[in-house]
Amino acid sequence: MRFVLQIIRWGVCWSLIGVSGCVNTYDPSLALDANLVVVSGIVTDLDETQTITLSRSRSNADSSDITTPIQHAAVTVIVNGAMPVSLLEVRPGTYQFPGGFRGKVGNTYQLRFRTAEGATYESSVETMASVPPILRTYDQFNPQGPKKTADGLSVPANDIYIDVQDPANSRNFYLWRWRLYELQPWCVTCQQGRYVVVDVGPVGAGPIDVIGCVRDSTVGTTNVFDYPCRGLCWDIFYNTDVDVFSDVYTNGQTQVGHKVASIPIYQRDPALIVVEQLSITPNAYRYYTLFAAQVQNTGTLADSPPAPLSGNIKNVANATENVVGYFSAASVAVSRHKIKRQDVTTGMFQGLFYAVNGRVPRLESSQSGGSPFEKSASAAICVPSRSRTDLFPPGWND
Amino acid sequence: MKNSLFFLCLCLSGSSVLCAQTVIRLYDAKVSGVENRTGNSAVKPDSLPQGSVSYTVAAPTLTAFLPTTAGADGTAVILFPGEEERADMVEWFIRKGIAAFVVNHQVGQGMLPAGTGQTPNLSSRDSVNALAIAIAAGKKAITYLRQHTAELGIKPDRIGVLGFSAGSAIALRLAYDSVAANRPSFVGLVYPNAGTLVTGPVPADAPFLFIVAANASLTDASRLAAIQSTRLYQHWLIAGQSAELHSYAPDGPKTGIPQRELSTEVWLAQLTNWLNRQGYLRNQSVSQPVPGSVAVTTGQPAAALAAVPPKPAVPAEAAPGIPEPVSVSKPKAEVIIRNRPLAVAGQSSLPQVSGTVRDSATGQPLAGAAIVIDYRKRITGTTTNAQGYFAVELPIGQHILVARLIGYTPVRKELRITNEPIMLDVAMISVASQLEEVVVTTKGLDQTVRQPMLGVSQLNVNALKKLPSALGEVDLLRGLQMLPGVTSVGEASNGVNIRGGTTDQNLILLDDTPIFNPTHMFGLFSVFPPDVLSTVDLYKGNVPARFGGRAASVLDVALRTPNLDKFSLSGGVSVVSNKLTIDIPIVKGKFGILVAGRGAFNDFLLPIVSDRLANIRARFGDGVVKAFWRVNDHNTLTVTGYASKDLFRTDLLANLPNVNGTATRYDHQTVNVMARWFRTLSPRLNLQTTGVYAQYVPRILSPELTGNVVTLRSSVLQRQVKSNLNYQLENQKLEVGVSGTHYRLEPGTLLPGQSESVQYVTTPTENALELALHTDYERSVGPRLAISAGLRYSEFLSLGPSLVRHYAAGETRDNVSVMDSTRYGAGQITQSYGGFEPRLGLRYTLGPNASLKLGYNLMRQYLQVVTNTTTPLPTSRWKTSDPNIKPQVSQLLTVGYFLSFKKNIYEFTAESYWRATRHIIDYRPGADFLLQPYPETQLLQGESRAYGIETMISKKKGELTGWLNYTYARTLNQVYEGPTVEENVNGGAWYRANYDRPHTVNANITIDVDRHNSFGFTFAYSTGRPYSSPTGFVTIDGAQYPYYGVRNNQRLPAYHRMDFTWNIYNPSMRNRRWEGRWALTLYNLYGRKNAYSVFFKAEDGKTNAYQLQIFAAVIPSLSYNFVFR
Repeated sequence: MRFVLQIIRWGVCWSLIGVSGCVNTYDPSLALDANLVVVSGIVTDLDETQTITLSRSRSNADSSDITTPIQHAAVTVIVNGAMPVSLLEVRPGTYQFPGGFRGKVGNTYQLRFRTAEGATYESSVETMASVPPILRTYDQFNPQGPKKTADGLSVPANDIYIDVQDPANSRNFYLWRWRLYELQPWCVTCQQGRYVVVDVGPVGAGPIDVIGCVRDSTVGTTNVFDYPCRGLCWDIFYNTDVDVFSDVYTNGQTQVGHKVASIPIYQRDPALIVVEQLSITPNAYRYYTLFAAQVQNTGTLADSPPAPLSGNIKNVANATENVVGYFSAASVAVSRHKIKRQDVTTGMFQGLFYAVNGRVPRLESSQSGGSPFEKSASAAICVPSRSRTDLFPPGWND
Repeated sequence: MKNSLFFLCLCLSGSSVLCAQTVIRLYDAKVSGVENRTGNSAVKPDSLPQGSVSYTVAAPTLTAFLPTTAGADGTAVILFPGEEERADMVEWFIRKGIAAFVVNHQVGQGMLPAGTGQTPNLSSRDSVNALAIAIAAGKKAITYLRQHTAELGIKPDRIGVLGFSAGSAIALRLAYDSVAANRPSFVGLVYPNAGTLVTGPVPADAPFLFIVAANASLTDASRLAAIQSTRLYQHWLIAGQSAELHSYAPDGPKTGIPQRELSTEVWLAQLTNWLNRQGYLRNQSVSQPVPGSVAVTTGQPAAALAAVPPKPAVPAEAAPGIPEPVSVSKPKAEVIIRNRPLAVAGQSSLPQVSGTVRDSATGQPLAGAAIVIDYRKRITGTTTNAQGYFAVELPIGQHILVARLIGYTPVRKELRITNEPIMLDVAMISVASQLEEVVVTTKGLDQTVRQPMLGVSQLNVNALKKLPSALGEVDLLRGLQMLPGVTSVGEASNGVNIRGGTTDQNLILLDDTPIFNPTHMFGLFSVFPPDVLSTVDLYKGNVPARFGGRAASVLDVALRTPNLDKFSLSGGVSVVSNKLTIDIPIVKGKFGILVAGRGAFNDFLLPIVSDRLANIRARFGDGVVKAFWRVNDHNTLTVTGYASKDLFRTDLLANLPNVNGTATRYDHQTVNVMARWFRTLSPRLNLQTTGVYAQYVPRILSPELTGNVVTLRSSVLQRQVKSNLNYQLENQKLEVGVSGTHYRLEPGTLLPGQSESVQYVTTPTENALELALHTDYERSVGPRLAISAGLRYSEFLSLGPSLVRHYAAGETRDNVSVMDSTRYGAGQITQSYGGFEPRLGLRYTLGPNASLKLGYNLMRQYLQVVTNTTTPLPTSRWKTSDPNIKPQVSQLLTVGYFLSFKKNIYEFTAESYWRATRHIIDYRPGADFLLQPYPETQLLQGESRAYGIETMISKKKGELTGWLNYTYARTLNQVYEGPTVEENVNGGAWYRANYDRPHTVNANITIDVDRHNSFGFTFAYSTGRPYSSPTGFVTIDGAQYPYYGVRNNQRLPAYHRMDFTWNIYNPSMRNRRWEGRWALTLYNLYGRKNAYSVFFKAEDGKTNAYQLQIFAAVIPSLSYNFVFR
């Protein structure tokens, strides 16, 4: 019996029937030759400033991916076929709608832009459809969560489910995206340096002047020091997977238990997930489905052969030029859900810092000897960015 | 007791000659070669001096009669008595001062010419063994005497042997087959029996020879013996050795006195005379020749020859006198070892291995067979003599003995030599009489005259079982892939690709019923029950006109008929599955049933292996019931039922989209039924009518969070009736047939179960009818040319009820370009396709062993799988041709060269083909066929062309069989329906098909070591299949994704693998009703991580490349199969 088990243990690649082991990284020889215009932008009815980004991705034998923003393009979105709205380039390649611009259900939108080189591109006309609200967002502990990489091990996770009432009498196509707020106690890492703040005073109560990491040649070049946050700080994670759904089999029914995310558990602290539900057009749905099939749902026993991604943007002068990206308009329903992680029963969790950096944090005080600087901080400032905030995320305390 | 037993007995005889009589038991136990004789059987009280110790025949002994020490002259003679030797002979020797030693032996009866009727209790094996045992006993006796000369008062260089009648054969063998230690100094033959005298080459150091013969006594046998004696005498002379022959003419015909009685005194006198002249008698003078006999001495041989009557001489070789050996008509070489314990202490000479080599079928001894020891490391090798006899002496230890002879399969035997001589009879199998042992034979050369077809291969199912198999499951599809021209996309492929065809272009028939999904567990195992396969024919070139409906090839698998006479049970256990087959004759010779089942339920082991495997399900089963009824001499009825079921769940297959399921399970089942009525109308004419029902139901099950299971079910139902009339003439064959097939396809229905989320969704059922007429005609035209011509006419009718869309011409077929649609009622014909399908084969003979063939085929396919995955899923959609989807039409042109050489043992074939297919099916990017009522909006049609050269050399018979093949093959497709990326593939350029693998080498070797062991190796190499790699990367919102500009622009690393298997048959060697077979298999022997696929995945904003392997390590497995009769 033992022999048989050994055979089974060694013999079959369990990836075939469920467990990793037969997936290895592969070093492909690529024949790269691409020069593609990439468009990203969804007009929504969210109450926020909206942008469209234009870039060009080039791949050749020397470099797999050179992405350059398309600058100085004339970008216009035509609303309802009549009203052009001009966008302003706020950062290289990022074009911003006028401040008060919000999408509106029922309106049509069409993107049109002319590059500095004179090529004109035009999208199909997209109609913003209404979206039903998310009825409920909830989580479930899954000891066998997703794998970080295809050849990695699975990590325990919180599976996030939503319920939604699909409207009858209309064909609905959904796209979900989410962002996750996780508490992050560690704010700064200095390599061959120390984090320095100047307490302007009064000490402990007044403002401080952040100098940041200051190089310290007395420590090794690979030496790192980690500094905890002075106050609460959240790291923000965004979905990278495409999640689309069609009501082709479910029109008008209440959808229960659509899994929108599987959040790996690195720490037992609560987290907040903000789920956005977008209504998209059939063509957008088709585009995203194909996109998902070839970039994320690969590695099955029967993959579909990949095909050139073709969005809804065309070069007016050259129909065969392929533009990557889909310009769409979507109404958005938002749901915030606090993942309390009280049902997390098993697993060892080494913290978010460890999960992101692959090591435990190292305090400056662990190093003997004093700082050559006037004052070395024991705690660092949480600097807000796209991936970090020091403000309570809305819904955190609900 | 192991050592010699040596007991002295007082001679209680009242005879005048005092003697010290000693009985030496040469062996301390009953000789194992003696099966039917019992002890004491051959005591002949009057044949030895009265009061001598009687001896048992079953254990050879040596009885010594020693002269008085004073009178002894140091000469010893070992006597091998015949049937009726007289005690006075022993007395005679002792009087002359010669020590006499009598060896009892069992040769007598067995050595008599056949037909004497004296062997009621004797097995033939006894007779064969008796001679060898007696020879060994003789050698041992000589050796013994040489070692005990002092005790016995004899001299080592004065030890001779004397054989009487049957015993003379033993004495003569001692002259031929001995070494210095046990070679007699002189050999005397008295009245040798006819047919017992060998006439091989005389050894260089042959002992002195003395022969007494009666050249024309009462029987022909004695005359023959005399003739053979003179021949032997001549041989001795030719070899320059000393010999003397006394051949006595008959007395007057009316004397009435038995001749031998008369001449005993006479020849004893001659013998004494001769011994004296040779210097063996110290004190005797030369006697006078006796009148009435012809004394031939070396100086005057002519006189002896002149005395021989001019009767036709029968050569000794023609009458070997040894009965038929044991292993006649055994399928394997048989080696019998007689290993007997030794009796004599102080043995110093080397143990001997001796035996006879015979033809396994005829029992004829084989002369000149080379006996090679330890693969020529040892120079003691020898060859068999005219009687097939050999003897070699080997040091103690392990040895390998190989018997080789041209035209025969070598026989190899491992020997453990201890202190004892070994008897080893070898039966060799003639290569020419052997069945072809290779898995794959080209049905070509032998049958050329009758079958002018090429590209037809037959799989030998028994040989297939000897091939290494993954996880111990004998697998037809994997065996097929060792053939040239048969490939697949990898280890988990759901079917095979034959000569550039897709998997669904192969018509797979199991007892005439179509198999829509040939694999279990997603390509790992094939669905054909291995224990009940009868014949497997693969038509990849010429396809007879009776087959139709697929564009590339036909795999015709027939299950064996139930055994009508004998109940039998067979089964097996492997790591994967358990199986059982039962043959039940219900009315003997008339009606029988065959039931076979196989099940793989071993996934219950998985949670034991790891908790993480607890949720996995991978189970399958299949079963066959076949009944055969011989109604009368002219009618038979066959019914076959086949069912298979699969259930599996894996993360490696996509979930059911747009249903909120927590997991995805696949299951599929097949139910096929076939009934055939075969009627012989006349010896030349028969009629065969078959009805077929086949249903295939795949399902995808998706359990919801609530526990409810949502099911997507589809089905294919095929019903068919066909009838063939066969007419056979001397050199031509005609077949005419008609068939009608109805297809009913349910492309998909979503069954919500108790779900509150999912609705019932269904797609319209498809109905279609395919009608065909065919005729096949074969005949030979002259001695060199043969023709097979076939013509099939098929008509395909797509039937309502259906809603047929009409699209604007020249536009992409989608919801926008729909012009209008037509609704058809039930049974209405929405579209018909059809046409002739000519099939032609020509064979031109180039010589007795070579031929050239030419073939042309046209085939039409109206039913196909539409799927856009690399290999079809079990749940992939089958689709009939309809007004918007045209049938595929394929044309194949083949040229082949066939050569067999070395008595049809080797075969070389080379075939070249060119194939063009119209209306192949490809897919628009993002195509989705699931529950799609208008699949034409998702697919594109194009062209395909394939060409290649297939070469194969195979050794079909012998101890080592196998083959080596090399294939160069290309498959290219072209799809262009419009300029945009949605309407073409690779801009309309020819691109490589998924299974385009230019170079393929397959090799297989099977070595049948003996009846109980065989080893098999397979090696497979092929170019990696094409895959699509990114031609660029794009960055969207900071995350990087791959971009694919071209399809199939890269290739996977080359695939290669070696497998090994060791089959052990019936290891216990007992209980012939129960035959077991163990198979130890090492799949992927050197553990190569062959890539099944390479894929790219965007993970955390980066694109990573991976390869997926199915069998990434060496996979050992053990399986056991048995047959009980």
